[in-house]
Amino acid sequence: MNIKLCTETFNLNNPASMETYISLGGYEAWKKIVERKSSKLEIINKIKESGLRGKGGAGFLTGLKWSFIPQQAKQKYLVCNSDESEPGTCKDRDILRYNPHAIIEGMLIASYAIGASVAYNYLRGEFLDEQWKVFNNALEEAYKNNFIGKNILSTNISIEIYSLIGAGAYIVGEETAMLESIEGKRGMPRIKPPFPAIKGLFGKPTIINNTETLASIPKIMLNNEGWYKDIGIGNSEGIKIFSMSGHINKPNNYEIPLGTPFSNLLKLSGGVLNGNKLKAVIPGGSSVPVIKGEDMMMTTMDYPSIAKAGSMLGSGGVIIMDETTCMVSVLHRISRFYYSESCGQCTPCREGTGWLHKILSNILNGKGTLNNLDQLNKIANQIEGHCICALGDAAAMPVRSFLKHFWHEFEYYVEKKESMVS
Amino acid sequence: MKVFINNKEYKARENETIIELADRNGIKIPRFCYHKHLSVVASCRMCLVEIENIEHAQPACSTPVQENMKIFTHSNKTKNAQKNTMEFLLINHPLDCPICDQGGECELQDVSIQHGESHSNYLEFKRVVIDKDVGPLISTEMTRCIHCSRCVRFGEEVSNNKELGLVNRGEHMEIRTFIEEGISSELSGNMIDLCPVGALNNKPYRYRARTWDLQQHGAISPHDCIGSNIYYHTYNNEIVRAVPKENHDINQTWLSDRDRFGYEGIYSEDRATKPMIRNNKKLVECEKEILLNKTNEIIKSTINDFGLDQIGCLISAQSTSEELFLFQHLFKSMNIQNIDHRTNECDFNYQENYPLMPSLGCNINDLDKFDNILLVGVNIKTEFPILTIRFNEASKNNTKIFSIHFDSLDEDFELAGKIALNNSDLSKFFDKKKPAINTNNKTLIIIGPNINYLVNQSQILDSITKYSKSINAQQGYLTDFCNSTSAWLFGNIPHRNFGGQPTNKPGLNVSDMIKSGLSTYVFFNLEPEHDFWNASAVTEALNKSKYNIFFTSYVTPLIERYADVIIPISTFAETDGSFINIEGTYQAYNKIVNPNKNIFEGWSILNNLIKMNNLGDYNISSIRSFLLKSLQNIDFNYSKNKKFKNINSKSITNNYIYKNTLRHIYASDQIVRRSKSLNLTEQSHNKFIYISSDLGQILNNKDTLEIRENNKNYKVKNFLIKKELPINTIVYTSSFNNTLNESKSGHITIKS
Repeated sequence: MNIKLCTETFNLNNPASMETYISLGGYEAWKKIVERKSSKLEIINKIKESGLRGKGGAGFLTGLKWSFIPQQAKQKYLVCNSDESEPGTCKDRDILRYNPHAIIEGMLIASYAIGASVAYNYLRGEFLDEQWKVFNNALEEAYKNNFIGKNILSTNISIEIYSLIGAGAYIVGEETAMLESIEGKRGMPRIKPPFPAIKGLFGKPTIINNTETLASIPKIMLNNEGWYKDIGIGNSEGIKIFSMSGHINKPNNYEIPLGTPFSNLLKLSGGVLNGNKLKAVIPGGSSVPVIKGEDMMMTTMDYPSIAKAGSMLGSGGVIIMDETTCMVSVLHRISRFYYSESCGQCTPCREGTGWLHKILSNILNGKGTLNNLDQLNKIANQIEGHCICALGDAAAMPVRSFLKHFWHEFEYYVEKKESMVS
Repeated sequence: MKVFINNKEYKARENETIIELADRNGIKIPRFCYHKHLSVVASCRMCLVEIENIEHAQPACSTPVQENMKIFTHSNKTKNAQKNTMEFLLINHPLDCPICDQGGECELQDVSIQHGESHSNYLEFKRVVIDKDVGPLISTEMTRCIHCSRCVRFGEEVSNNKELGLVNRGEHMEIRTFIEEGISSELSGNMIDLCPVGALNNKPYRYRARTWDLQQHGAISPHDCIGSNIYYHTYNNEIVRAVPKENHDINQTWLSDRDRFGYEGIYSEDRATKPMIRNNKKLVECEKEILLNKTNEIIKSTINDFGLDQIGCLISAQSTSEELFLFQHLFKSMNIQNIDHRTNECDFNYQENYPLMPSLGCNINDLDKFDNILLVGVNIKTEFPILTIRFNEASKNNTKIFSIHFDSLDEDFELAGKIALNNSDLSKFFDKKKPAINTNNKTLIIIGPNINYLVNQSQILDSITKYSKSINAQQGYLTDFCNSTSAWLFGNIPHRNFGGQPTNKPGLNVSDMIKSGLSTYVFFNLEPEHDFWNASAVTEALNKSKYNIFFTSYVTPLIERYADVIIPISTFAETDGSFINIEGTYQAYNKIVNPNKNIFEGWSILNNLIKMNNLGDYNISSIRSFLLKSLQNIDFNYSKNKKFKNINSKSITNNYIYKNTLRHIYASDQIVRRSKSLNLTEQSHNKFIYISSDLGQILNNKDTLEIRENNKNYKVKNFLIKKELPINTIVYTSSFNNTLNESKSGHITIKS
């Protein structure tokens, strides 16, 4: 099966242009909805039925999320989360670059379905040079063609879409921190409940969806019921982009049906670099637990299978590490990321991520003790589950999994003051 | 709703959080970021508690209770979670408790004794944060900060003056002012109280005492008419700091900086410390008995030689109710009617129509129940800073607040409208133009002290009263001193006696007493330099009179020069006292510190004179019980049944240039004027004279104003042009170092 949703335009000439998108059936779904004035509930039900899951990391059912919004509320908002900052993930950046109209159409359909008259696309600060421009051009084209704006296609439907650019904070990818940032405040996650669907942007009901999720919607709406559901396997319906990076021959974004064996995906991306042995895989962005290479080869790329292997599908950022990788250095690098990206709000994350990083730095500098390894585990446990948002958990999970699977390597490093692999 | 805490059943309210329920029932849950008057951020994670069937411990401050919820505040899981948080908080917190002022009253210290470990697992480098200089009131030690963000939220939510914020991320997060600024909020001291650790400390109090050596005395703040409840902390019979005393109806848990640091004025070097009488043109020290005899002799001889109407008795409305009562009792019993406390005013045509006593017109708690509030001639931010919090609450509760003033002044709450009018337009405004409000709504009109200073006060008061009657609005007052209510009520006015009883023969008002040059003046608690509408007229009167008796806490140059008797009296802190605040609440307090041996408590020295003249004998409890009893019998509907006198004051035309005076926040009374710390604040450096832009054009870039007023000329430098001022106005700020040569409000001409 070679179905493409979000990546459909990627290899075409002039991929981001409106003609290209329309030539592939773009805006058909939106036109139909506008012309027929489709029922909102029907759209939500169709998305629910398709089994589409949020592609940002948590994998929450999109249709279900939409159905939480109180329909009678006057002002509602849709926010597209294009603050893709998870290390190892680069799918949204390419969708923005090569297929921006799919995002726009998806945002329009979603806004219509939840009854939002205003939608925002929040791009990460690092997208300023390319994706920001491409997306804004696309937005302008769509406005010109009256797909967005006042009285869309001469009906009484009006939806405005605005694009916003962040200032480079990972934490703003957390949905409530993004709302704070849009409101012009410091990007710090809010306490939940209330959830954004009840009290979100400017205190109004708000739905936040990932870029890939929204870009998938036009095709799902255009096709018959069951079409999307049939692509994947049970409990993991549909199709997902995996960003393959690390020690592989052809690092790229691969859009494959969920349930595809990992070995196939590895083959698709050209196999491990230099034909080396696969040592470990982080299957869903740096926040999820690492899996040993041999265990990974047994899994299929879907939610339950990866969960069974002890990790999460997350954002689909697959980081491949071959036998030459020093796991101590990798964990040190990951811990530095969370240390510098913690917003500083909750005590465990603010103090704990720094502590983890300092201990790992000591180990890397040959000043570590065996006691430190237990301490790392203890600190990770102290952080996990005790913070407002998931950043603390994201910092803790890699630490625990790296120690669990590669304890001997850490032990070796502490004792010999050098890496096991170099 | 049934909720179980530690297996015991409690009745919970709807939408209540766990910590609220626990606090109500005296169950201790440690916390740092939570504060009942601030929004919940749940960021310190100290209040984590175990809840049955939930995997991880949850923050008690943000988790709402649910029916049959089972909460465990002392289980192992709870203890572990709290211990873990404590460990994180302590890794970067310095262990400098022995040199930290917060030691002994530090929330972190308390919790760490219960939940902390005795050893540290943290062997890495500790974070060091550079201290910030935020001004003369707050000292910082930012390495101690645990990022609870209470101070930040106070600025955002309560005082609405956001001066502190979070900068940087994660472990590098700091609390600081933006761009090396100081903190200038009038309520900044509250951040000291809110800070659970020693990061923000009381600068004037720094290193002066350890908290466990302090004695706490509840009292009432004497610096504004709100009557904030306050605790003074003393060390060796000296006040070293002040903190708020919670009173839900008045100041909640807050205190303005003026109330918090004003007490420093008690320890000023110019305190009157010994009784003095003038002998052969020289002031000499004397015994108490000689002092009393001399005072009595002067009063007696004035009455005998010149007549009852040749003695003028003036008292400050900052005096305690006991002093105010005895003062008028002493003189009115001798049939002296020249008694007044309105020393800052000049236009008394409205006095017959004035209510029994000034009153806010509602309870402070009820300010947010009005749809409209018109503030006339008052700047809440600088005159009644503690009310900023209440007006903020009101504006959040959809009360529309308007400001009508002779100057355009900023407020820290949202104003629905602001208009600056010169004196003549102010008096016409309520007659002709009328405020653009929905008059069907519940409206409160508050008249502030700046109106009292104006030459056409009576016209303005008259037009406002007529207007508020016509739209059925509530009318209220805010007064310049803390006890104006008592002064009016107990008869420290020439035209009414105690309790508003009519008098057969009204005496002279303060302005006439000064102008007519009496033989003898008695001043109680007043500084001739600053507390009068026209300082130079007072100087002239002092010069001409035969005798001047000063009951005073401070010896100012004019007092030293003209006093025949100086009776050193206590300040509010050295005597038992009471005040009636603007709501009408009578609040009494006991002596905070003992006065020096040669300083007399105001009420007792007055009582000595009363006794000498066989006019009675009082003690504090007998005065208080008498006052409280009388308060019950007073007719508070006084002015409702009264016929209003028509006001015929000189009409004012637009051809004049108006000179007006604003009270400076830290020069509002004689104690505050002498507070060293308050005099170092940014506000105190701000002592400009503002002129309207049309006058600026006339001046044509000259840097000196040549003013002619009442046939006298004087020059003024250091003025600024303020565009927002109404035409033809000059606005002064009365302040300690800037004595006005002439009146506080008047008509002047400028030499161009």
